[in-house]
Amino acid sequence: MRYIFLIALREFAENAKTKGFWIGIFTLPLIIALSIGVSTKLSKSEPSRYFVVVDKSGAFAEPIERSIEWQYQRSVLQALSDYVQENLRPGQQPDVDLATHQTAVDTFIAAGGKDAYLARLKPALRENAPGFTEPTRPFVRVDLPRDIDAAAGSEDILAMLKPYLLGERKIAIEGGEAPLFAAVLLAPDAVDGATRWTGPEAIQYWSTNLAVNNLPDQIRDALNSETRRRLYVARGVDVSTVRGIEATYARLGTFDPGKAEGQETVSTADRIARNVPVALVYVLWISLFTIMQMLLSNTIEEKSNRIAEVLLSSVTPNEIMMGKLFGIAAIGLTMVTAWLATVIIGAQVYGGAGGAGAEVIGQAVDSVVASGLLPMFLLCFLLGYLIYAGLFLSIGALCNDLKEAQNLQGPMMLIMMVPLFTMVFINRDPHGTLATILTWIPLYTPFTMMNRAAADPPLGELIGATLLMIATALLLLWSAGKILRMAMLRAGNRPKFAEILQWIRGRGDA
Amino acid sequence: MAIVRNTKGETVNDTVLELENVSKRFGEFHAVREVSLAIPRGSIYGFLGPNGAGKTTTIRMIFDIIKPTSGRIAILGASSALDVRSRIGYLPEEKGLYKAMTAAATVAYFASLKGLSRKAAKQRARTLLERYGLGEFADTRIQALSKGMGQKVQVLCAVAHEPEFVVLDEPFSGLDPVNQQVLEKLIRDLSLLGSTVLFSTHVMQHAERLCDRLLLIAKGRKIFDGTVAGAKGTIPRRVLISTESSVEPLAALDAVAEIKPLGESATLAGTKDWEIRLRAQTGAQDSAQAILESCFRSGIVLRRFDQSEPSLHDAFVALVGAGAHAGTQAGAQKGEAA
Repeated sequence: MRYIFLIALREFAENAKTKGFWIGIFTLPLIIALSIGVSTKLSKSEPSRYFVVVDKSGAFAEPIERSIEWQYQRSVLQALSDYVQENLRPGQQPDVDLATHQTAVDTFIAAGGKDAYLARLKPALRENAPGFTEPTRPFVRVDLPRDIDAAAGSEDILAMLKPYLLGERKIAIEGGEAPLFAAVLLAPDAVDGATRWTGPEAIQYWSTNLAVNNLPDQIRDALNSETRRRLYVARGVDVSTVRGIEATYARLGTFDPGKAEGQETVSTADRIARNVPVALVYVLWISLFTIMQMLLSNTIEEKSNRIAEVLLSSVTPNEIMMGKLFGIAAIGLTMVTAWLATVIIGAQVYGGAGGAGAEVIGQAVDSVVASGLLPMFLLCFLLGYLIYAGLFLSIGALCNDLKEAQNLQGPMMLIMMVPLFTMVFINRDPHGTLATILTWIPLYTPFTMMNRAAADPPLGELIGATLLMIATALLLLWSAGKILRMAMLRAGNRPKFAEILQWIRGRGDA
Repeated sequence: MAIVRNTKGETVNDTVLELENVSKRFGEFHAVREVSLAIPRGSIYGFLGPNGAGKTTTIRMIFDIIKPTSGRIAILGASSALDVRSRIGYLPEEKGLYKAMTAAATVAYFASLKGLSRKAAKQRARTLLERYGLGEFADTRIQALSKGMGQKVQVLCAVAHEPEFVVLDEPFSGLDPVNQQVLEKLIRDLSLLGSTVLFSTHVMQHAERLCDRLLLIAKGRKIFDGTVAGAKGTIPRRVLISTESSVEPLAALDAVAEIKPLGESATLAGTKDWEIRLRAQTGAQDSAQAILESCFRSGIVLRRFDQSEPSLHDAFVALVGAGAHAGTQAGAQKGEAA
């Protein structure tokens, strides 16, 4: 046992002492945090985009502008809702409806927008809450550039707008110039033409950037709404009645029968917890294969540097193997613990700002802890580790150098990618055919079980899969022990598969 | 068997290693054939043999790294080296260390694997590195050391726990003459401390200078086991001469057993070298004198007359040559047993 401990300690120290190890550990959460932070920041700081509307029909310019403004007010309300969540005094409830369905937005606009709401919300907010910054307007309608005659024909106007649309010329805006993002051209017969699906389009959207869908979508909504309004009027239907009916928003409560009575409501925290298995599968995958690389390179180092022989004069092959297993497992656990600690500390720091957002995170963490996912993660990590360690130790012992190992690893990598490709599907359908099949393939069992854990898989399958993992791990480690004993001192040609089988059966010469 | 006490006052056997008819086969290839030997405590034992003779295989069996096909091995009285691992040390022929570890950490690690406490191992590592000229490199990583320095570190790894019995497989290879001397000193130090040392080498001068006894194997068979003088004694005593004249008249002398032509002299143009083997019964000095007198009488013009003792090198070549003829032609077909 002393020897196993010494070997494990060396393996641990060798890896834990390197800067690369710790950089690697903290890079992952950092990259994830940064990518979330940066994408949120980027989406918030996106500049406004300017468009012109050339409405020869005179029917749509105003509805389009109204629709764009409504959408903007909705995003203000959403931002306000986020702001309130972050800055709400604990225990307080906002006395205004911060949902973003149609009626709520209409009420918000009718009440006077953000200033009115902020005044009413102030008492419920923390005293040191920062000021609310409203989001920038994503789309702003501007007039035609001055050198274009609005009275000219659509064709002429389009021809003159093209240099602007292509970025060759800039339009004047308040305090400077900006590129023209899009132009909407409406023909004189646009009202009838809107619903005509043959011949040239009466309403045209021109832009070099067709990847941005929001603007044409919002314009389409405005066109539909206005066209329908006109049809209602033409048929003598009372528009305000119809609009009132259209604004109806049905309420659907979501419940989980697996939860305790009285707490069946599915909350935001629950939704976060529901997605935690996928995150844990990902963590499991990254941590396992990071440490497998260490195990592989350490084993190869001992073989190619001829350290094995000195070691074998002091310790048995089994002691070497066990020492390595413990040492590298400790490295893996350190890595995973560091990641989890980063998440928890990150949540604390975020929670330190107070407010309902932190509360949701806190509830999500509680929900994960209560769900038994962490013990399941530990079980899958350890058994998955032993299974893959058995394979990688054998590969390491059989190869003369890292290059040879990489050749052998190629097909292994492909096999190992499967859990990554399938994890989202398994999470979506945890008892489906794919999930069931992968549960019974030992190499994938740890990942699949981890993924299915939150959905309460049948107990029989749980026990069966655990036993399968244990049996596979034992078999692979036992074989690895045999291979290690035979292969560590052997140089030159890699042994043939039949020869390896002989070793495992215990019929080798040594 | 004599009763001997070790440094701790415990009663110990006076033989540290005993091999009894040990053989090792790899498939059809006989790497070692029925080798028997006994190494007495306190000796410096040279383990000689040509490449592929089975030295490393024998050593690996001694350390229970591979199992003999047949025969019995007792090391410090135990049947497996692992049972006495804290009392034995081993420097393999193929040397290697963990590249990212420092010299001190490496020596300490292997010493701790041999039973020293981690604290004692660290102290011992520093002391040894200091003593054998590597003090300033104690905290240098192995990958930054020269090959020779790395090899010295590995030798220290093998002896840091002050083993009773050390096996050094080719310890001198790759070392410069200065470091070879340092290593010779280390081996003598070990011997002074009471350790028994078995080392293999191709360099006969080292064996001649250091060894009390020699073990010589070729093609897996033991062909000699005894003292250095004994090894030299296996070569027939002879006188070497170079001359342009006929050596016919010398054949009639009582002291001469045989005259072997060695061909054209490499150094003296136009002369031929001869080896004149002497009869064992007469003293070497008397025989040489008789040959010299006979040369004068017969008018043999001597360009060289060499009656110096044969070296261990000559003995090695002669013994291995004889062993090769005696052995079967199984030969070194495989590299595995090198």
